[in-house]
Amino acid sequence: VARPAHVARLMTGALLLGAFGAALAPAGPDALVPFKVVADAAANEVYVAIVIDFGSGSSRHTVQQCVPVPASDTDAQALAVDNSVGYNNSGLLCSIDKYPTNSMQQCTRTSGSDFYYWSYWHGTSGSWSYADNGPAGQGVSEGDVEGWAYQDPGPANPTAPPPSVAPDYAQICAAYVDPTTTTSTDPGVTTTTATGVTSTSVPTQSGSPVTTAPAPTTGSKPTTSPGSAATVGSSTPPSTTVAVPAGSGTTTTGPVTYTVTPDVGHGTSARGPGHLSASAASHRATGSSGSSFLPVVVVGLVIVALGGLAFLRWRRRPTEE
Amino acid sequence: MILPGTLTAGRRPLHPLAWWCWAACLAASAMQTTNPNPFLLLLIGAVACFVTATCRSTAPWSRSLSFFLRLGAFVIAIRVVIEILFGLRGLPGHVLFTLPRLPLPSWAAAVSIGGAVTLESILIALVEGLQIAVILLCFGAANSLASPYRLLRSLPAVLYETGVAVTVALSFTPELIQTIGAVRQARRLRGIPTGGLRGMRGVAVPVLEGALDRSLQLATSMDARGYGRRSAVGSASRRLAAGATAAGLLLAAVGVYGVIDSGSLFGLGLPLTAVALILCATGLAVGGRRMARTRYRPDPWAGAEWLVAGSGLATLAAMALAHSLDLNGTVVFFSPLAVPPLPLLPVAGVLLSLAPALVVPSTISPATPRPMRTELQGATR
Repeated sequence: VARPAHVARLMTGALLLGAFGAALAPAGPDALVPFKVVADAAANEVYVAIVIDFGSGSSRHTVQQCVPVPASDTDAQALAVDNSVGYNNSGLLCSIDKYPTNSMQQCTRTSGSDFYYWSYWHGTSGSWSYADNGPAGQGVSEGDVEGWAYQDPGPANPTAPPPSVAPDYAQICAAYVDPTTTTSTDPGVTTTTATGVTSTSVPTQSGSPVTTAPAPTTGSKPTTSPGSAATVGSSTPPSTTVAVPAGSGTTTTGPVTYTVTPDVGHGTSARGPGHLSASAASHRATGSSGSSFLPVVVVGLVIVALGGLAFLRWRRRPTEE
Repeated sequence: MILPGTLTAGRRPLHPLAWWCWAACLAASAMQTTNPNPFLLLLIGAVACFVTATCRSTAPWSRSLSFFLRLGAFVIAIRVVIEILFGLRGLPGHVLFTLPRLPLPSWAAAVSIGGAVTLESILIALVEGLQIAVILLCFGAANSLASPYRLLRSLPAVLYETGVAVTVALSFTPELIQTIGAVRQARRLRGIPTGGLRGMRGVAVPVLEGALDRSLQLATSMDARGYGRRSAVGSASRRLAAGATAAGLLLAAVGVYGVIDSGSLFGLGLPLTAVALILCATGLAVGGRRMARTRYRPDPWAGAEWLVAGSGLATLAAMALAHSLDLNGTVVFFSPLAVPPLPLLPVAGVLLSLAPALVVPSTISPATPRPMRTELQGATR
C-alpha cells in the first residue's frame, strides 16, 4: 500500500541522521550546540612568550618576544605576529624570519637519521618539553611560553636540544606581567635598557597591569581588508628591541635579543587595535617579497595562448580521409 | 572488422608507446614535488592540451581529453570544498570568511570541522587539486593520442600471460568514453533526458556495463586468435617462471618502500629492490620462451617516435635538473603569500614537449568547422 520508493528514501534519511548523531556523540554535551561560533571567544587577549633559537649553524641571536594575541588564537598565529613564518603545503613549518634561507627547497632535508628542522617546544611549566602536537593545534593561554629551536641537524624526538634560553615567562613578558619586579629580578635588562631602547613607547604601557576585562565585540574581529590593515600598520608603534646578556641561570653563550611588541590600546577600553596591530604586523611581514612579475606575466600569456589555440583546434574536426 | 583509427589515410599513426612515454614524462614532471609551482603546472596542462588538439586522429577515443578535462575540474572543486570544510586550521593567514566551528574533543585535535578559512589554505588546495588534474590530463592526452589496440600489440610477449587483465585495463577508459557517447546519443534520439541526476543514473549503468563488455570482448577475440597461445614446455619451467615473478613482485613492493623511506628496513631497500628486479626479469625471460607468436605488420619506431618520446624525456630531465639544483621557484610555498618566481630552465623544458605538435603532421582541416549537431554524425558517415 505504501509507496516503496518513498519509504526507502525516508529510511535512507533516517539512517544518515542516525550516523551523523553517532558521529557527534563522542564530542559530549558540546555536540548539542554544534554550531557554536567560536569567534566570540576572541574577546580576551593574552600575552604569549616566544623564544626562537636559530641553532648552532646561525650567527643570529636567540630571540625572545612577548606578543599579544586573541585568546582563541593558536601558537602558530602567535608566532606569526612578529615573525615571517614559512609553511609548506602540508602545513609543516619550514622557516622563521627567512631562516634557513634555502628552506623552500630543503624543508625536509635529512642527514642520516637526523633532520634539519624547526623543533617546537612547550615551556609553560618552566622547563622545555618537546611538543607532541603542532603549533596550529595548540591554543594560547596567558602564561604560555612557546619555544622554537632550529636543529642543524638533530633528532626528531625529545632528545633534540631545546632552545638555549630557559622558558621564563616572567622575565620575557616582564613589561606586561609585573613591571615593578623587572628591575629587581633581572638586572641584565635594566643595565642595558639605556642603550638598547629605540623607542619611548614601552613606558606608556608599563604602568598598566594586564586585566582580563572583556573587549567590545566590535574590536574582536580581525581586519580582512589589506588596505585598512596597512593604514593601521603605519600607525603601529615600533617594537622595542633590547640586547641583553643571557639571563641568570641559563647556559647561553651568545647575547640574547629581547623584543617586546607594544599593544596600542593596551589598558584602555579599546583592545581591538592591539589585535589590529598584530594582524598588520603579520601582513607587513608577509607582504614584502621582491619577486619580479615579468616572467609570470610572460608565462601566463603563453599558457592562455596555448589553451586558446588548443580550444580552437579542438573544435575543428580532424580530416577523415 | 576494421577497428576505427587503425587505418588513417595519408599518414602513419605514431607508435603508441611514444605517446605514452611523452605523456608519462609530462605527468612525472608535474609530480616532482608536493609543493609545485602553479604556473609550471598550468603550462604542462596547456602543452598537453595543445599537442592533443593538434595531433589527434579521427578515432573515437581521440575525444577522451575533454572527459579528463572535466574530471580534472571536478577534482579541483572537490579539493577546495574539502579544504573549506575540513582543512587544517590555526595557521596564520589572510582570513577570507569564518565558518561555524564544530567543537571536537581533545583526542580528535588533528581533525577540524569549520573555522576560519584563509586565502593561503584555499590557494594550497587549488594548487594541490591542479596537480592531480594535470596528471589526469596527461593520462587523458595519452588516451586520446595512442590507439589502445596498437599499444596492446606492442606489449612484450610475456605480458600475454596476463593478457586478459592487461587488455581490460588498457582499453577500459577509451571504451568508456566511446560508450558514453553512444548511450547518450541513443537516449537523446529517444527523447530521454541525458543531463541532470536522473539522466546520469540512466547513463551510468549501461555505460559501465558496455565498456566492460567491450573490453572483455576484445580480450576474448584476442584469445581466440591465439594471442595467449603457449608452446609446450615442462612444468618445472612454468613453476620457475611463476614463482620468480611472484617473489620478485613481492620483494619489489617491500624494497621500494625501503628506498622511499631511507630510515626503514635497516638500509636494505636498494639491495632488496635489485634482487626483486633480477627475479622479475628471470620470470619474464623464462615465461617469454613459452610464447610462440608472430607479428603482422609491426609498428615501426622511427624518427618521429624518437622525437616524441625524446621531447617528453627532455622535459622530465629539465624538471629534475631544476629540482636538484634547488632553483628558486621550483618549490613554492603560499605562506607567507607571494607571487612565485619562475625559473627559466623548467619553463623551457616544458615548452620542449610542444615538439610533437610541430613535427607530427597536423590532421586539422582548416576549412571545415564541426557541425552544429553531432547526433546524426554517425548516421551520415
